[in-house]
Amino acid sequence: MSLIKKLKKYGWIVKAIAQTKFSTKRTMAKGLRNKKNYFPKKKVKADVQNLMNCALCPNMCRFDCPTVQASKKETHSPAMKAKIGYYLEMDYLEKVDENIIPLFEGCVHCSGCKIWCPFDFAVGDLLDGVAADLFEQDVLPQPIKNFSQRIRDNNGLYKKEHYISATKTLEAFKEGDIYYFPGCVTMGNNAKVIESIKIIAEKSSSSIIAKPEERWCCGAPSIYAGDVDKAKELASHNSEHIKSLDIKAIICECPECTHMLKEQYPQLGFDLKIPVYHVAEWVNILLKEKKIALKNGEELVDYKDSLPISFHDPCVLARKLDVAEQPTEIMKLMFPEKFKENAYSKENTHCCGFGGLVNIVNPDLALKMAKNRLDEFSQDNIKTIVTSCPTCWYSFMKANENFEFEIRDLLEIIAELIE
Amino acid sequence: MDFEVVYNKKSAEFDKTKLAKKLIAIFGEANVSQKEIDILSYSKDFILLSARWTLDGKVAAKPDFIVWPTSAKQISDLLILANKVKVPIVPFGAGSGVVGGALPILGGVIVDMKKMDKLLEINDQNLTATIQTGKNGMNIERDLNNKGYTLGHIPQSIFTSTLGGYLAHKAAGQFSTKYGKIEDMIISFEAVLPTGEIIKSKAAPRTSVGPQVDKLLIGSEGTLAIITEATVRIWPQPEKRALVSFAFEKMEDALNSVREILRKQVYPAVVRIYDSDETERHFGSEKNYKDRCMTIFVCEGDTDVVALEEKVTKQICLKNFGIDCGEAPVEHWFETRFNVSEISKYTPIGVIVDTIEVAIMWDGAANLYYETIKAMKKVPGVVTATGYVSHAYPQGVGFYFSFSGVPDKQSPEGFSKAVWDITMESTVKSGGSIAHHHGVGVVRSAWMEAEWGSIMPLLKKIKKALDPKNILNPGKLYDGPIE
Repeated sequence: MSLIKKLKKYGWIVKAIAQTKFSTKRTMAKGLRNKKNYFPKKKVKADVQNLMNCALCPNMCRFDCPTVQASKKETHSPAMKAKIGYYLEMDYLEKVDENIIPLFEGCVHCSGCKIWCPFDFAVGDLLDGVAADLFEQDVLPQPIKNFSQRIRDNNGLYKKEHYISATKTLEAFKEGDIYYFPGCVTMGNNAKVIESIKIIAEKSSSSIIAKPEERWCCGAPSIYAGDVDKAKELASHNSEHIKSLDIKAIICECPECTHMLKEQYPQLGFDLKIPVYHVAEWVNILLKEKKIALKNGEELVDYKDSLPISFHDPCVLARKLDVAEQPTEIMKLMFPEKFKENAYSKENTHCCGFGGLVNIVNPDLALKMAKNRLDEFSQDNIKTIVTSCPTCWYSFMKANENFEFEIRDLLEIIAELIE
Repeated sequence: MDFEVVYNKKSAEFDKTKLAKKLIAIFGEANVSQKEIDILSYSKDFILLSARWTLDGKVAAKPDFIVWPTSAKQISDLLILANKVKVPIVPFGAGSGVVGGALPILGGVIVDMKKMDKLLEINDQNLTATIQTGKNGMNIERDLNNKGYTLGHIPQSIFTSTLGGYLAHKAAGQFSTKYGKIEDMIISFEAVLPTGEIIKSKAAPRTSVGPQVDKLLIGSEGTLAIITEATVRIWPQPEKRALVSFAFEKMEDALNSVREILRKQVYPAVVRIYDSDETERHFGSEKNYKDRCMTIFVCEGDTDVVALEEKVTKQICLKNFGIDCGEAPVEHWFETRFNVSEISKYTPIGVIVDTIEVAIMWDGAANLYYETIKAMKKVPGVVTATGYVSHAYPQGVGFYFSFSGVPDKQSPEGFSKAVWDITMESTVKSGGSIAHHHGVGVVRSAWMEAEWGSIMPLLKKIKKALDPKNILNPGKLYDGPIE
């Protein structure tokens, strides 16, 4: 806002202040000077101004916070989490597990709150700064410390042997001008997705290269755990090996990885300067360029028992990366009549419950959120839920014991219906 | 750090260890907490001074336990237990009340109702929905919207409040001129009385069978019962919406326009009149609005009805010297109506901001407005004192007064109280009611006698009869000033 516009907007207040007594003006000036007292004396990584903005707000985003909707605890409400973060930064609260755990179990980093925030921030982003300060002070609860150490030890979410099958599949991607950066969760749990990428690449004559032995975790989990130095190390390593390749684009099947490589690496000082796409964007481009075509799944016997079908928008994909339309467009191409859009879709999607580190510190709460999300789909009377995030897929598979959905990854279905 | 407790004068005494065991026996371990971090989280509502207290490391009032019931039976068991051990019980929705109604000023057990949040039934033929009272307002509206209905209860706090809170504080939403207030919406209810009896009323379009018990409980702010379930009337979502705005040079012309519109039995869903300062604050200083009172209307419903409402509204506004400002100001209102960032912006620089809503019949409306603004401005340290009409009826209006300022030579609490007192005094003097829809809580407790006069002893008798051991939200409504 320009200065003139600002002055115009606050003109009525300026006029009102001008009419007050000298003593009132003096008190106001004192108030302005005293504002610094509400900030920590030492330099911190956390965005204390916005923690304060959030802590003083009447929680206007709480209805869309999946954590508080699952736990029903005020302690997990967005403004309270910010208040706890603020109090920890100000040393008003003792840095003990009981006070710190709510910040980790209480936020899935889904940015659902950002949609409603007059200051346009996500509480999760504010808590990242608090986590970084707590990490530096070595006061984080043991489960978080263990988690950080696990990434430090493995340069990934899991041990190397967990990736054997995926690594083998990835060996097929020998040369190409598109670099495929596979996520830890996919490599560790759902190598079928990598097979699907292989099929799509073949059909579209895309040449893809992958370096499973060289890629490390993208660093997002380390950020959540406050381990910024490790996140930087991972970013530096990944950036170095990616930059050594002669490629024109990067694709990721994991929205977290996409977000890290595309948005966070530049902030950490490692701008790849290469376009980074989530696979839903990539497939959408291939379709627009007519490099692939998709069959109508509704006409195939194989899908008879799987319809109607719906799509769960991963929160990082739809909100942080703004890839909200493409997956639905693809789904509608494959299922023109039997695709049912959920009431909470695209940027209004609800988290699968396994974002951030909730599953590390409070697996029951994470599972409850996943069940809440599946419950939202059960009201649509659909048979299959498709998603495009390995973590969402993983959480729904875990939560599905109380439901009877088919849980699929978007790429698997594309690979099945590609012409 | 030990947080200073603002309302801590006379905490109730009971054996916490024994009580913990008994609470766990009723609710299960996962639904009982006495963790310090949870206690801190429930030591507040949104009484506006609490923002000041947050920064100063103070808490409003501390509970001893928090419990999360999942059934009326559990609440009943709790209240029976509470009567035995004499522990205060305070129902809690989402803690967005702005008068301190949910503050546990005598400690005790907070009953967080949020686990009772199911939309139990929608009856299309009867146009009703049965909902547990812990359900968030926006989530009620979204669930209804997804099925083609609306409750029509859209308060500014909708994102952060519950059905139980609406019923406890006798709330009114922004669209209330058409859809009514919460007391108009309720058809039947289930509640637990202070001594543990579960009562349930019959759903009927109207009854003529003795006194209306629901009207006694609605607005009792958790002192006479914990309402656990309500059947409310709902409506099909509106077909059409028309946005109308007019700017008036004089507040009286705006008030007259609204009065005449309602007199004709035309009920726009939203009716709001902003004084000239509020107009500049919300809508800027465009040529048409400058130094005028912006008045906005939202007509919605059946297409033909909306067309007629729009026509009559415009005709009457023009007759009363209104300048047609088109749809833009109403669109702006829609975009910004849930923006409540002022507290976050001004509290850290020492400015105290608050709002006070009152109600008045038409014949005293203009006088109340002018007298109250004049009185508020006299309080040392007040920088702005503004007002707007937020709710309108054929018989009168609800005024919202806002103030901002700095405590010159007083404490923040003393400054805030001075403005509140002068506003209450001005309202009582003008013949108005001291609260339109926020309730009493702690901030208006001192004014109950002045409001109710000869009826106050009856209210006290009712409380005594229903809650002989003063278990449910004690200290509120009937016991005079809360310091």
